[in-house]
Amino acid sequence: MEGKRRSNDRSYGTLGIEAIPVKDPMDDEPPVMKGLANRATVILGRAFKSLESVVRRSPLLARVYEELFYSRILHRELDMSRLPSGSRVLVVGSGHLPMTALHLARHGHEVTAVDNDPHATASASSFVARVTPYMNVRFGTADGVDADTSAYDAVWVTFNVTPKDKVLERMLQTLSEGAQVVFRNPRGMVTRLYAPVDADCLGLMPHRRRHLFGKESVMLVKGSCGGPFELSETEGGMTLACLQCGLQGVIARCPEDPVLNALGLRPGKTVVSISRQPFGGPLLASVDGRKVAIDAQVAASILLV
Amino acid sequence: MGQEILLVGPPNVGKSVLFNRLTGLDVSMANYPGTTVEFKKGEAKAAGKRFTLIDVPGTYDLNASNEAERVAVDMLSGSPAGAVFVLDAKNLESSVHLLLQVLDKGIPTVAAVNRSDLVKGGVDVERLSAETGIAAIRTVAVEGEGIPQLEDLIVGLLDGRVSPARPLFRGWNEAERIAGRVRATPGEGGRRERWGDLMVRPLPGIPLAFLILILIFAFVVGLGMGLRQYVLMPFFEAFVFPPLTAAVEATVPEGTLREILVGEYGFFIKSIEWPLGLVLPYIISFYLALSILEDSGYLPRLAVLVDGVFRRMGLSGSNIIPFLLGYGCAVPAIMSTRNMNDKRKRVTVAAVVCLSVPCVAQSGAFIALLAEHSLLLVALLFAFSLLAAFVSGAVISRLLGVRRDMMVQEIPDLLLPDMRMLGKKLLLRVRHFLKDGVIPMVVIIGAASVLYETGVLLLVSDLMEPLVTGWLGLPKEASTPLILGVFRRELAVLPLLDMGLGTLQLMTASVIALLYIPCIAVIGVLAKEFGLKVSAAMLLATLAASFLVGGVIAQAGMLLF
Ligand SMILES: Nc1nc2c(ncn2[C@@H]2O[C@H](COP(=O)(O)OP(=O)(O)OP(=O)(O)O)[C@@H](O)[C@H]2O)c(=O)[nH]1
Ligand SMILES: [Mg+2]
Repeated sequence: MEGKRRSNDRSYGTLGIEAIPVKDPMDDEPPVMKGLANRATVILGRAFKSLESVVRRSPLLARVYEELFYSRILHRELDMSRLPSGSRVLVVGSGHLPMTALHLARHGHEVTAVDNDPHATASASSFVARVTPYMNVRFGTADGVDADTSAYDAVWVTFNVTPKDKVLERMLQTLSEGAQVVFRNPRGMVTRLYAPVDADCLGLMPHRRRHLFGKESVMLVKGSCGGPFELSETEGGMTLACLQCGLQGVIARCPEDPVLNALGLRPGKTVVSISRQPFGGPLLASVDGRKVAIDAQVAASILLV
Repeated sequence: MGQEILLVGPPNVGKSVLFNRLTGLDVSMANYPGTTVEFKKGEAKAAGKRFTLIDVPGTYDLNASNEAERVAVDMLSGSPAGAVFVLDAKNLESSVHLLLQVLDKGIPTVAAVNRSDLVKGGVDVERLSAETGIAAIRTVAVEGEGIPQLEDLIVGLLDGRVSPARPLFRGWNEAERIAGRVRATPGEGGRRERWGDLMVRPLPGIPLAFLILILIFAFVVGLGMGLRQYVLMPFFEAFVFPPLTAAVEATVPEGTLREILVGEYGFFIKSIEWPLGLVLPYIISFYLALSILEDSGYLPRLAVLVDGVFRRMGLSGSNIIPFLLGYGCAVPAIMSTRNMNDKRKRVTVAAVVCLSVPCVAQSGAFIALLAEHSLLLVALLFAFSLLAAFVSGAVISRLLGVRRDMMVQEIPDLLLPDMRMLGKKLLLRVRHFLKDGVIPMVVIIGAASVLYETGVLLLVSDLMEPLVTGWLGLPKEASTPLILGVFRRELAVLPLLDMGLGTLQLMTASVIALLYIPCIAVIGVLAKEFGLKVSAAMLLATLAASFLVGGVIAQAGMLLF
């Protein structure tokens, strides 16, 4: 993502171009790269699955694996989400070794874990029955793309789920107001291997926690920042955060914040994106001739027409 | 005390400039939003009538949740005789929106549309009057245009001839409608606007920022050293010291007393040389540089660029302003955190400034101490100060659990600083230093020399010897600056000047002085702003940090060399 941001800066051009881009900024990547990244996602995903199916044979190995890869991440995700205990949680993409589901259950949540691979769900449930038989986890085979999540307080989408953007879109459509989605994204160099989901473009204010080894967790709350943004065809989830430098857009929805509104960021106003800082720093926009520096996360909550 | 008139409006519209025009006072003004964080009162006269004018901190909205807004609402809920609302000709919509909120408070109000030089086609103030039901005029505060008319309007307020005008409608739709009627097309920014935008693009903005900061550092150090060596010291040596010495020699018999007064390290000599020869040059050079930065509108742009670094400290780039002010003096730096809405964040900024940002007087002392040895040491110390600021910021914000602020900030236009204004600001700062800085310094130097002569300081030195000599590797007398440093930060450094310290000792002593507890004035402000507990904690923390880090440097240095 960082890489993409910077290339946007280079394409800074003349102000006041009329065109309002509604396309997914992912399209800017050369198709070869995109294909490679997708292929890598699939291959690495498989590799992890087979690693997990080996590890699950030994409870000790599993414990080490959990400590190594999951404990910290989950701890921070729970800290970020502040879910009250006893919440109904859906884990999408639980895999052979359902560490995320187990961890959430251990924190007192009522967990349902699904995977689109029936082998994975079968071995996961046998693993849980063997190691921690009293755990409050239900398993099922389902695909995230057509799951109905309206009954859940939160959804966890694990790192290897594909196509993650489609799954997330579905989650955000079916979840009820105030429910959360936590998903794991690659960051930094790792984005060259796995294609990340551009969290800023989902129209909700993302909260992030960065982890070691090029991972980050992103949390979205449905209905935050001034209302649920259904990702309709025409809106396409275009936010000020994804507006290319030098282009302009018209604000469709904006959080009702006195300072933001006073600076001219209100529905119906035309904004021009002027420049953007690397590493997720603020971006500079101009509204009615007034220059405003806006934090990237805030900009991600400003939806354009 | 006459009746009270409030000066209200959004941030950065020129309220403080108007205030200075009307009262003849000098309150600080600068080209970034949020310069005035506490209301300022001043006496003024219009058509022979005396009244009290109050410069209210600018706020975008009466429902915003920060200190400036709270102060503004408090003032409006009092019982002023009237209010002068200052609108921004360039940003009429949001000005009108706020005006409608203010009118709703039911106070007799008149309007001044300021910065009307920046719009072409002008502002239709008659229309504004008709729409809002209050008298309105055009002003250009920096040029003094429209001030007489404004005074006439104020006389009307004072005579009770203006009745409050409650608006029928409020909100953005109404504000947009009125602003549309009054219509003012913003002037073209042209080249200056392009430059302003370039400065916030990572390229060339970031390299440019480095260049600008290095140039400023060189300017401050160079001008300061130059003033000291070629202007102030020669002046004192030629015209002040000889007559002073002669006068003392004529009245005081030869002996210890005469030595105490005018010897090489005599009280008269030091109490002129230190404040006026050593610190004053840097007050001049630093505040000149800071005023140029403030008025040019570069600071908010710098804030955008450093946001990436500041967010690691749980802060946002806008917090660079208290830091820069801290390089002048920690007191205004701490005061300027008032427009932040989170107390823990304010404490973080205040702690970092107290711990690792040297004030200008102390910086002057550091330069005097270290530059003779090598300019590299000066650079090293300031690099250490930056590092310490970053580390302490990151640690303290974690400890306090500070949640990051999201930057939403107006970036004002670049302006060419006005020479007259710069001169005025500089004069103000120098006068402030002469009044509030020099006298305490002289008193403390005098007290110290008495304590020294009576042997009290020696006694304390003996007591502190294990710490100072054993742990810090400094000579026994180095306890003196530690004691004096409680009173003024630069006095934690200046007594070291004549001790003939080696490189390692210089570095150790400087680091200790840098991290050492803030001066008494700052402790007072801390206690006032954050309470006794927080200020006591800061005292302990800075004390511990300075002895710990200083000691580690000394011990490691002794092991290595
Ligand atoms: N061009 C132009 N500039 C002005 C005018 N009045 C003030 N300024 C500039 O605007 C900037 C802000 O002025 P201040 O007086 O500090 O603004 P303020 O309203 O007190 O701002 P806060 O204290 O932040 O609320 C300064 O750089 C002034 O030089 C004007 O009429 N025309
Ligand atoms: Mg002001």
